[in-house]
Amino acid sequence: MPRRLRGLLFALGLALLSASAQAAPDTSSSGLSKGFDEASALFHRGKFTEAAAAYEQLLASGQRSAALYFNLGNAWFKAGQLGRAIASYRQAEQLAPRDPDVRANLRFARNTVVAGGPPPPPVWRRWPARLTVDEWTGLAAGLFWVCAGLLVTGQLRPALRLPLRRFVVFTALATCACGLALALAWQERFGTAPAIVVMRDTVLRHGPLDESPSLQTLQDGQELTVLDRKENWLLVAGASRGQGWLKREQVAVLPAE
Amino acid sequence: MGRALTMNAWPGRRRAACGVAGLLGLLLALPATAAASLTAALDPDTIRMGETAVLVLSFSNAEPRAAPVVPTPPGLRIQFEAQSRQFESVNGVTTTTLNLSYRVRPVQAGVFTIPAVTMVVDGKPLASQPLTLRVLRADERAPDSSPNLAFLKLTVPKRDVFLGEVLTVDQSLYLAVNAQELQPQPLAGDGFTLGKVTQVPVANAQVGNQRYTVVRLQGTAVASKAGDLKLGPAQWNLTLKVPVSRRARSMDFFEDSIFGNRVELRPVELTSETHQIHVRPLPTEGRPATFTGAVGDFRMTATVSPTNVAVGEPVTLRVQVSGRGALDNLTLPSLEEWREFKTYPPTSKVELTNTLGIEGVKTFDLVVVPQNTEIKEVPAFAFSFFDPDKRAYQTLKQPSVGLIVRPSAAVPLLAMAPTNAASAASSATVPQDIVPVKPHLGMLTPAGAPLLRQPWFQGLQVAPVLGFLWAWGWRRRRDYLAQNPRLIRRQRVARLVREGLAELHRLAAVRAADEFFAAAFRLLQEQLGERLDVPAAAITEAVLEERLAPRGVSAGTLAELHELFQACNQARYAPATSAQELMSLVPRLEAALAALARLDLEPAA
Repeated sequence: MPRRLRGLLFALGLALLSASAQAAPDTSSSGLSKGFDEASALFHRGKFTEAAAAYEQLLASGQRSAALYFNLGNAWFKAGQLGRAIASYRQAEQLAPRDPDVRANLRFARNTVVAGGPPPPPVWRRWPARLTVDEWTGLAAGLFWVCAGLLVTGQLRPALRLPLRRFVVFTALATCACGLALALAWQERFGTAPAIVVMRDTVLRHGPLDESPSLQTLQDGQELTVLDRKENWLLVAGASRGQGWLKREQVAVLPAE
Repeated sequence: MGRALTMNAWPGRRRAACGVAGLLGLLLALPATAAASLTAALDPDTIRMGETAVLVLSFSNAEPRAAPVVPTPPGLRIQFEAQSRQFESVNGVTTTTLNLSYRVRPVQAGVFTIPAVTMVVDGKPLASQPLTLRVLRADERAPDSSPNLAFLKLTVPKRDVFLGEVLTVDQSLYLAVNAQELQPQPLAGDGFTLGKVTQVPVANAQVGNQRYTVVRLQGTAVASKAGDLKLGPAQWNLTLKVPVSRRARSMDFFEDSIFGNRVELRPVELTSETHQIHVRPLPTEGRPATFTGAVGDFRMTATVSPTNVAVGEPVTLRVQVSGRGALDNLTLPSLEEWREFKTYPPTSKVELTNTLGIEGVKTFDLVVVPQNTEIKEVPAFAFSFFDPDKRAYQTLKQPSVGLIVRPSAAVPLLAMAPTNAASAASSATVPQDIVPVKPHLGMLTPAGAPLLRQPWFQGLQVAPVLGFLWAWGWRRRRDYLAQNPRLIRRQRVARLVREGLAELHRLAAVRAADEFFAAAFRLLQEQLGERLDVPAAAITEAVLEERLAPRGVSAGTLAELHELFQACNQARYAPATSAQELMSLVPRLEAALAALARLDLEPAA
């Protein structure tokens, strides 16, 4: 038995090692760092649109960071593109939900669009948003592993089963709580498709046609939710006059990966 | 008895206490009075022969028991004529004046000096000033008396000032007669910035023989350029109420005064002198970097609050500059050197302690926002000004204040500079601009599916489940085996037989006959013992007939077992056996052991 157990643990260790190696971020990209500095230099020289283009070029490389999205949001904000700024800040917030700079700028941009900003979400939506989906996933998985490890220990060492019981219960409950938070965060992140208006005087229409009557004119930066798609048109909700259709290029849809 | 006396004594004491309290209250209720004084005035101070003048002795807050005797110089006759009383209360100060009028008649022309009148009133010696009376001949032309009736003076404390220094300007209108429609004109002062003008309470002054009522206006002037500048003249337009002598009366151009005396309304325009002011530029030598143009005499205090904040939370630096100078124009030095703080323009308010607006306290509220946790203090702060009295720059320093900056909480980083003091508290957390760009790229993550959708991650989560299932099965099996010792023995014997057969092959190959047969005999014992559930050591060849035969074991198997037992026994006495012979025994032994393992034997009773 012990030999087989050692083999199993060794295999699991190898799997974990390879998994962590796969998940490790690539921070050694000097080219990206150089491009980041150049884009920031453009920003400081007042060339905000050029800076935003440079930041987006960096994002096109497939790498991303909260700072990159944050600076992109700043460049768009200074360039007068409120909607694109909010979209960038929201993507930065997805990567770094506890970054006070990101939250401050997102709030500031939202306040610029609508005095006082949008109403705060309910607590059950705010609380899971404190961690990213991956952070909730890691936390829940870690607790799950600890709980399973305690259970396995209890099976292998029956004498420890009683002393470990309270820890098993605690980790099991914590795992369930984290799992619930993960589900909420997942729903918030991937269950909806947020869209932010990026053009001024965007017309929301009754139907997906240019000839369709106008329902409402939306401000740059207004945040909506995509309900349906039809060719180049999106059915969105969140406007004061209800659901309506607008063109795909009039909004920035946050990627639901 | 004692009790009765005590009771009777209290009403008397109470009445006495009430009386004292009432007297004190009465004294406190009485208005304040000015000091006693005696003044003398002559009206007019120039007369012709045949005219008279009136000498008035005014006892202020003094009550003589009799009219004093006025010393009469030769050439004049002075005769008591009448008395009157005046009661005046200004700002709670009560003045009671007894005016004793004397008629002065000249006997001859000339200039006469009426000596001072001295008198002791209520134990206090009082004395008036000497007066001069000019008596002209009847045909002599009288000099113009209007300059004496009213004149204007412009007073400045100094003629040599520095640029930016506040100068107090005093306009005094001297009135010997009543006047109306007083209209001061704006003060001329090219190169000066004139401050607000306030009126000083009316006072009396004696100039020569004449007693004047002085109307004063005070203001400030700040030189705005260097050089020799002219300040003034001051100009007033007013109408004098000049009493008309009996000889000059006519029916027109006169009106009755309130008391029935005839007066002449005489519009006049009074002009003061002009002052030459030398304005020096501020010295450039020794000018501190923190000098922002303040000129005067100041003191500074500063407070910092709060001193324990998170990154991005505002800290208010309150600087109070008090003293004398142009407080409205006072500014603080720039905080550009505070690179680790985000700074905002200060708000300020001025609290004046004098009516001219040149003394008071100016309070600045500077909102600074720490940008990192490395900050340990609010830096030292300095304010410089030029002291015109000392003719030197002075620098006031506020030492650094310890500051604890915690990592940022989840609150907005920026704070705006409040637009006024009232809204400072409410607007302290409202940002005015976005947080600047981040200088570092930070941790990069590849764009891709979330962790939960990664196949390797999902597969990894199966491992704990499998591990638990394995452990659970292992535990169950262990418990099961613990309840079945025969099964454990069977498995142990099976493993022993498997390993023993391999050992037999090796021993046969090396022709180790003794070891070979010993091992073979032990294997037979172990297998039979397990089958019969008896100790292996108790197995002998005799067991074959005693235990196996009654249980239906085939005769062939029994015979084979007999032969193997006998072969083992023979080997003990004739060990010389070839390797081929030993090798040939291994399959037979293996077959016999397998046959025994397949036997379904009930354990021995």
